[in-house]
Amino acid sequence: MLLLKLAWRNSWRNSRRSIITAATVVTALFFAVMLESLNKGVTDYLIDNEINLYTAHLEVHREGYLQKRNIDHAIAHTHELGSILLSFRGVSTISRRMEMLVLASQGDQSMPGMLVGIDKAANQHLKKLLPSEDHILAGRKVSMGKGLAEKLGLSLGDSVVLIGQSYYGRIAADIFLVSNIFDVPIKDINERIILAPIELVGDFAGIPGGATSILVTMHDREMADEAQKDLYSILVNSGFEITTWKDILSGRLSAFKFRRAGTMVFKGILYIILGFGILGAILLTYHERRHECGMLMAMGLKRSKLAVMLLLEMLMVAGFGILAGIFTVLPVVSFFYHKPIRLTGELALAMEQFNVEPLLVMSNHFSVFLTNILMVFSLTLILSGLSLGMVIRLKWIRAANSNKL
Amino acid sequence: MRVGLCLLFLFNLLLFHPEDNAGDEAARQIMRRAVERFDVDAIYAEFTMKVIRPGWESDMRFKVWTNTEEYALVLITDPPRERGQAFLKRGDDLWHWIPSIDKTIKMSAALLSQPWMGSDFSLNELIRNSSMANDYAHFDLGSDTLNGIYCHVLELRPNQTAPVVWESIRMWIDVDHFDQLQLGYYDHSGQMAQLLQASGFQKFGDRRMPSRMEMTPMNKSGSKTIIEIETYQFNPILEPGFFSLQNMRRLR
Repeated sequence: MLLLKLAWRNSWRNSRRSIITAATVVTALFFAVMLESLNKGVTDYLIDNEINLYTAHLEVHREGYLQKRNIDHAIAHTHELGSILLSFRGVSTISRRMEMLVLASQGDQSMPGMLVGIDKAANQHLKKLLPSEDHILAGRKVSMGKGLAEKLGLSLGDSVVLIGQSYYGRIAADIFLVSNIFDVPIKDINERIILAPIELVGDFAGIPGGATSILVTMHDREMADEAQKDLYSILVNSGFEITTWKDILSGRLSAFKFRRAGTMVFKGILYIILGFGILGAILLTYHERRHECGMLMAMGLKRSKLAVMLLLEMLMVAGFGILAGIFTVLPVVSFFYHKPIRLTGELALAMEQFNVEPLLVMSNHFSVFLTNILMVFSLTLILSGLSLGMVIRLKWIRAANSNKL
Repeated sequence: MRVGLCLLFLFNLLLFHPEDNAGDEAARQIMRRAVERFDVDAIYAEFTMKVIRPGWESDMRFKVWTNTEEYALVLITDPPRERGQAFLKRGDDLWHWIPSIDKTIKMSAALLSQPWMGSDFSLNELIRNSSMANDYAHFDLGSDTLNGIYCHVLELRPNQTAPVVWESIRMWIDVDHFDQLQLGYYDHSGQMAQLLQASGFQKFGDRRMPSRMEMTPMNKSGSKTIIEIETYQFNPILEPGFFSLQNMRRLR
């Protein structure tokens, strides 16, 4: 207890020195958290976005759909399956989706398009892109990506001819009104997507009430794997296949892993630099206090107690630094969490080419803070161990006799 | 020298036309009796078609007009989704008229032998009836009883020039009426790929025709297509220009 008190007083005796050490810790924590937060934020944002917007935690298809991706492998009757899924533990919502490849044509221009029918349970962001409710009842209206509309020379209110293969090999062809044009930041989708209510697409494809996939949203993303196994045993005999978001986004996920590895290397370098900063501060402290330590020992303070006191001091300063670091980085992170940075110019174009939305989002997930706090803290501890080693090997007579700096 | 030329000529014959005009005479006679009822310039017919797939089926009605091998027009009258769609064949050209988008689409003639409108029949099978006699060499395989009916069994092997995908076709022909009761289509591995069964033979005009045909693909369980013939008219009077793009759009 006395040692604690001493340590506390010591830290404040030369507050500038403590603050310099703490500042090093603050800087280390600040940059490490920013880096990781940005990385996790962008990754999470993209995954969540893609799960919300286009995939779900689980997708149920009729067997063979994933290989062929054609409408012949659609699920014709979705009601029964839907109620089985909804009654399953952990399932929060289900939503039907019908995808079909079409040829969109206007005048002499024709472009391949992906007609996607979504239902009322679909994600809010996606639903917003549809023509408004009363318009749906009014007739055959579709919304389409700006890229596609531009390529076909279509503007709002124009009609577009869609031709495709309907259920079991017939021809689906009809004229639709373009009643909404929206911009998708992902180029591939922007130049292909045509959205419509699923009822309309079902009629067009010749299977009213059908769907090519049923999207299952779980209460928790991580529950998907387990649910997949359980559902598999129920559904496989009825001719369905079931996949998780990890399978569906596997390509994207491995890209993220690669990215993560890059960040790790970068973070390693950052830690090395910061480690030397902290080391410098500790060495400085040690040299400044060499005389003092010698004197204390000359007065009879045990070597071990001196070491414990110094360790406590170090912990206090590091703890102070970490606290200050959190208070510095938290507002910045949460600011950018709520107001993500949208990239423009060439960088944005480059990102779009990789089908990634040019948006820098930060994550305020506690794990980002926790891992970095632990990292900085242990780094400080290890380095202060070094100064402890020096204290333990201190030749106190010489130290006590040396000139005070 | 002369002998040599003769030999060369014979060799040539063997090499390039090994199967044309082959087959046996008895089989050819039976075949002739079986297909002579199709020996007609023009046909008008009305069909209903039921396509059965695992867990799903659909009905369709359509009308067919043909004139020789050259011209054919098919008009779908039901269901409402497809009503008014028409297919026109003129020689090697094929067009598809889709009224819902007000467009005529020129199609590849290869589509004639593809499954039509999601069924197990191709357009060719619906509009060409007489080519069985011309495109194939016929062999008599003896006789068999099919559903209690005594039948001739023939094997048909396509001539080299015939536009046919099958390795052979086995045909069961009723001994009394020379009705084609059943056709088995064999692919290159010798497996039966699809089976066509005809039944409900009755007089349409002065010709005895099946009123029901059932096509079963062998590699897809639970799938088949049933066609019922409601009307057959032989040599109907068709005005000139009937098989034209304009008329295709006008037809109801």
